[in-house]
Amino acid sequence: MNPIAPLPHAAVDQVANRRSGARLFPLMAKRLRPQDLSLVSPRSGRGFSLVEVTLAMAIVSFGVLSVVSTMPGGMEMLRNSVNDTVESRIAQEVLAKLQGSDWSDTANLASYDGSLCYFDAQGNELHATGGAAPDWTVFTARIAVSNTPPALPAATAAPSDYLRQVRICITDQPATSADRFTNARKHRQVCTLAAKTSR
Amino acid sequence: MVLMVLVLITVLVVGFLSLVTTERQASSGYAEGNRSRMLSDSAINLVIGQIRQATETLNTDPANPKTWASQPGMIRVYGSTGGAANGRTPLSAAYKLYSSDQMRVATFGASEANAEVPPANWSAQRALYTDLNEPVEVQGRKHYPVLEPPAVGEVEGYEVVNAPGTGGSEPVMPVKWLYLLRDGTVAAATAVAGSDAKVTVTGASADNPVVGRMAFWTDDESSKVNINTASEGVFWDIPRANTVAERRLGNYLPARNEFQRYPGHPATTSLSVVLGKYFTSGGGSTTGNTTDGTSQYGLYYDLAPRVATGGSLDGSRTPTGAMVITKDQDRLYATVDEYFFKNAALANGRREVSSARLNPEVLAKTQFFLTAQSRAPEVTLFNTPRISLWPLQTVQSAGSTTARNAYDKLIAFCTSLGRDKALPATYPADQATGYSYAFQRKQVTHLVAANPSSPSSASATADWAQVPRNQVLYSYLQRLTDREIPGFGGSFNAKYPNDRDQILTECFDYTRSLVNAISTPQKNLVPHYSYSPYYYDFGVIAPIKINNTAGMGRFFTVAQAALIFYPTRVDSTNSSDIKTLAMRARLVIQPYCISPGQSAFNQKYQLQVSDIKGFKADDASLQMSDVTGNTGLLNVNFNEGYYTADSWLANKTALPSPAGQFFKYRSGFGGDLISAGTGNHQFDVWASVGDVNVAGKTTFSFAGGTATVKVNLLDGTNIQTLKIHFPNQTLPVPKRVGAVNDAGKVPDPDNAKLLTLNYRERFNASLPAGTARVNTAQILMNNLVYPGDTVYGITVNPGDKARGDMRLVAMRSTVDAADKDYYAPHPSYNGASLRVGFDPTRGQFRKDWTQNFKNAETGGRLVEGLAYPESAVPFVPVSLNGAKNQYDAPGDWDTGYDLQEDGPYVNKADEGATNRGYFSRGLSLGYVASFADGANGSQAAETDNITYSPNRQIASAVMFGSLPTGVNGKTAGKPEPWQTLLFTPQPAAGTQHYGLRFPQDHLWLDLFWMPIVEPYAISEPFSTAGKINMNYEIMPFRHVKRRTALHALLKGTSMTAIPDTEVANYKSQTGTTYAANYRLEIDPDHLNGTLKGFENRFASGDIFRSATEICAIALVPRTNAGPPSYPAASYSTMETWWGTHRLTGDNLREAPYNQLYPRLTTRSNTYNIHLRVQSLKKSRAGNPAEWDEDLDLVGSEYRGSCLIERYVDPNDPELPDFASPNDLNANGTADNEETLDQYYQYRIIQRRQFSP
Repeated sequence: MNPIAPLPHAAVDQVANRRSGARLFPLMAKRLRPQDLSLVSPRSGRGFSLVEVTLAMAIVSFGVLSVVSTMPGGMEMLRNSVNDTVESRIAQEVLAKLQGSDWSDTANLASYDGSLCYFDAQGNELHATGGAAPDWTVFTARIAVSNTPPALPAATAAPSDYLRQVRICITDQPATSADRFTNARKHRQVCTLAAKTSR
Repeated sequence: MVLMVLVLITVLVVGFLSLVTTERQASSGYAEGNRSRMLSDSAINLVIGQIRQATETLNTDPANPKTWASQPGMIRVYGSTGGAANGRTPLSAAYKLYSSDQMRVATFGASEANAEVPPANWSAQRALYTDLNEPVEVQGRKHYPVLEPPAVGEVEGYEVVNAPGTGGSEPVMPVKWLYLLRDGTVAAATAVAGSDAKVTVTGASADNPVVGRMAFWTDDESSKVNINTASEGVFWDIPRANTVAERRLGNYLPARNEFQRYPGHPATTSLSVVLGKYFTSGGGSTTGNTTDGTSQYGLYYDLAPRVATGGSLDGSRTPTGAMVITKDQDRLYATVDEYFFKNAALANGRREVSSARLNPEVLAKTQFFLTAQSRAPEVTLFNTPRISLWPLQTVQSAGSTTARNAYDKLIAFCTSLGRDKALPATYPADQATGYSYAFQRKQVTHLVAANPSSPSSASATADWAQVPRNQVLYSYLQRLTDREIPGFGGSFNAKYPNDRDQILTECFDYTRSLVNAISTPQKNLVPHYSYSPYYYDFGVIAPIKINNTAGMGRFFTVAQAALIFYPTRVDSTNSSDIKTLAMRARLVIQPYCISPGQSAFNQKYQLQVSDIKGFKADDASLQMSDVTGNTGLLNVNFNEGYYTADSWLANKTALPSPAGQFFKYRSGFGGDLISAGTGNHQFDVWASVGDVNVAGKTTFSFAGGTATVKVNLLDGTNIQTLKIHFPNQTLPVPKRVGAVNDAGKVPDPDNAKLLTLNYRERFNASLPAGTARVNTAQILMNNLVYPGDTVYGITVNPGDKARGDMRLVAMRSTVDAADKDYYAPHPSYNGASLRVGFDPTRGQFRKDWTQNFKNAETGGRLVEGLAYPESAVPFVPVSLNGAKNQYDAPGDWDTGYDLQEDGPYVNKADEGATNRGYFSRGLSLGYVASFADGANGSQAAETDNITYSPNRQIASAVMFGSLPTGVNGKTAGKPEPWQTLLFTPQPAAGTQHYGLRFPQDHLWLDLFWMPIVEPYAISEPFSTAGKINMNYEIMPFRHVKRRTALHALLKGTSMTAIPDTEVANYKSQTGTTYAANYRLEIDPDHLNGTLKGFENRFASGDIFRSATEICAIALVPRTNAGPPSYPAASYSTMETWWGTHRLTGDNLREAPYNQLYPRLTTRSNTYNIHLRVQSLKKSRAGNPAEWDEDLDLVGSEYRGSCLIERYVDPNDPELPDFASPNDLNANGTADNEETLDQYYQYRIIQRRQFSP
């Protein structure tokens, strides 16, 4: 459906009903009386006892806390999801860079080995000056290029001179985290084969 | 209230969580998708790595250089040693371009190929095998990613036989999975016993788990028909006989831009084998109309982007200037899918469908057979540039015009590489600046009447000595022919130890002097130039001389030196016994040209005869030119074909008239005799200066001697020095019988019966006055020999060394006295030895006063025992009964053009034009003259602008197939006659041909190429689009048979066979009804037809390593058409079949290969990788070393294809000069030790995801 096009009448009614909540929440649809909102008991006309209040607070606290306690997980999931997207993009970007580079200028990609690339939160590459991580760095990618040709399946060793294994470790940990590229939990690894396409 | 708050918060949190979950799933899906896409990159890179590995590590061992050949799914590499036994070197390595547990193997023969077939239960082994062609069903219709099977018979040459698993015709394409581990290792899997779902992955562990798997197979695009270059071929070739059918070929020439009829042009490859059934089913038609007319293949020409209907309209009419096809300017197709739409957009911006029958379903079914992007390298088996067959003019010093037209410039671009650092700063910017791999001519002339510059065609050395690049390229070819040939073994220098250089010189001279030699048209091309001189000297080209070898040029050698003894004083008192009182002798030289062709040529050379002054008759000196100052020089400068009134002198034949030894160079209505006298350049320069008394004698003893005959250029440059030995012999005294009918006889004043006869007066008295003095041919025929003259002719020897093969004489700089076996006395002394190639119906010189010798009395036979009619007596010595090679087997000779007699020729490239092209001998000018071109009128000795095209003139080096290979012979002093470069598997000699020895002659073809520059630059520097890979066998899917492209190749080409029984007819057509057609369609059938040869090769586990190997495949004709009636033919019986078609000359047997070879390849530059990859997630529950199809998870899948191309940047400044022994690019390796392969780059042309 075209989201901009005007809705037909029936659909407008449905939306209206939905907005009133009549169908979704019948309880809420019931007209509330003023006393329903009062902290004074309608029956006795006096206030809640401390026990009641405490109990209510405990229940509310427990409920709220238990619900809110799921938030970090959700946040983590959200972060992971963003990381998934961005890191995937970063991986592609780095690979494209490798793929497009001249093997004769990069000693068969070996000059990339161990090099770091920096990216902001959106996965845009940041250019480091002087080797230090630029400001706004969120993601760091470390490129590892095998210095020997990978062996392809064969009866006898069949290294392929025009292929290199490329591993890209992407992390959102800061440089202060010394094991960010060695601890598998702190980075994500992408592995691929790069071929020499240039002369 | 509390609950409400709780509910509210819960709702918010749950909402947030569900949002996050969705987001997480989406990003996870995106990431997985990317992962599988990256996996597909890995698969593509893996294939690129394989291709590079196969093609770029060829020169690591310089002692054993390697070559490669591709087929769908595999590249095989061969070394150059170890091929002595069978002419084929063993496999060095085979690189699989499909996923396999053995990506590279050292042995790959028939058994290994059989082992590639997956087991019958492959489809159950899901973790081991996958089907790349697994269809997806959408809306009830199956969509296939690779091959959507056409119905049986819809696409020619396609079938599926014995599919693995079912044995049926399903187009399955099972390959093994390759697993990718976390650390990037590519690992093969092995089945786990007892389980179809599990495999063990080598190297997989908990720390290094399986993260993906890939399956791929690489198709070779050159195994398909290219829709940008192919159209629908309509056969054309040079007319070779004189029948209605052949006259149609001569009269209905392909017009300019009618590429579908150019021999060997990619546009002759036929689309109908793929699309024909779809177009014509249900009564459909492929007819198409344009304003130029109707063609039965018009629909194909509509589809082809640069081919159009018009011109000769399928060879049904003579094209005129108005019928030159305007080149289609459609843009090229980028993909096969574009075929669906017409090029032009409609007014509303929409694209019109090409044809109602070309629907999406047809496109899907034909995608496996068509391509828009096939390209193949034009490099030698040594992986170095080939030499161009098109001669270019050198770029002259600054300030002068550069004689290169648009074709030349494009060819120059296609045949050069890198940046020639030696070029001067003044080098024109619009010329190719790379290292050139084309032979060049020093100077051409401009066709401007009265003031032509001197072309280097008049020099025997200029194109060699003054063009250093030619010398470099010659050395380059020497080097290549010194080396063992990769893939085959052996070297040509070892095969032809005394003739290798001679053959190279012949090839150089062929390119120089027999291609594009007459003037280019002045109307549509700038600049307008001619290599051979025009007008009086038209067509004459001096042979090149290189070191101690010589070419053929378009020049003359000596077929015969004849001493004519004639009476000078007779007593006719008794008419029944006319007495000869005195006689004289004179020498006549019979010239011969081994390079006849469609375009005519005049005579311009110098003869010098010496060492004849000692000739004696009965101890009396013959007083041959024995006067002071006579050095035996005679300039022959004679234009035979200029005036139509003298038409039957028009010289297009191998046996030109000796009239130039009697008549002057003619200007206007001349025809005067050469000045009287006995000095140089005078009439009696080689004649007795006094009488020899023979009164009372009937015979005399000729003492014999050796004459030295030099053939020079007019400037005196010696081309040949021939020592022609006249053995001593008793000869009859010349005697008149019955009457003295000599023209110009002078009776004694006091006795009318005593007559003085003068040879010059024979002609002088016969010459009419004024403008009628033009028919010198008739005068020559009537008077050269009178009945009763004694003619002692020393002709080329029909036996011994020469065996009648004039080519062996023509190619020699010297024939020494020790080589006297080249010439031998003719058996009769009545003048039957003399012969000229005039009108074949008029016979030869006088036999008696009422009739002339029949041709059959003056010529021999090329095919033993055949009774040649008058119209077809070959140009060989009379005693020759069958051309025999060194093994006494039938030899190689040429079938003449149109109605020209057969003989020992060199198969000149065709320069025919519509106006006075073929069949003109005896009828009109010998020139190719185009009156339509205006200014120069009948003097315009140029080809017309209706038919001129480089790509029609020469298609491939198969044209070299009549160049002799035994001028010197393996054993010194033992030449090998009737033996030429062999480009057919079935020469007349059967197996008794030296060319079949290893390395076979066809590999010579590999050194040369002809760039295709029309209708667009189909050729780029050292690659050509649209070539078809001979290796159509699909590895590992051998059950899928795709012979389609070969069918497309063969369809537009015909082969020629002239049966023995046609000897009386083949050159004799006089009316318009003789319906014999010697052009036979080629049967592509794989069971009994031509492709049987291919099937045999594949069945043996081998493939074609060079496209030249097409010349080792017998072509099988379709013989159901007639007349004449042909016996049935099949691949296995072709040897016998040819036994009754002996009238087919070597050049005709090879001609179809000239049309096939340039369109074939065994290597591809374009590959289409079909792949299926999956990102995987290993379950923690299972064995980490295994992949369990039931337990573990597939994250995402990508199916699709990727088209890649390898290419060379021709402007790469680091490209070396492959012909140079120096290290010009300073990379540490001598340039001529490098190969082109390492300069290749790769690019991805197209990626396509399979998502129906």
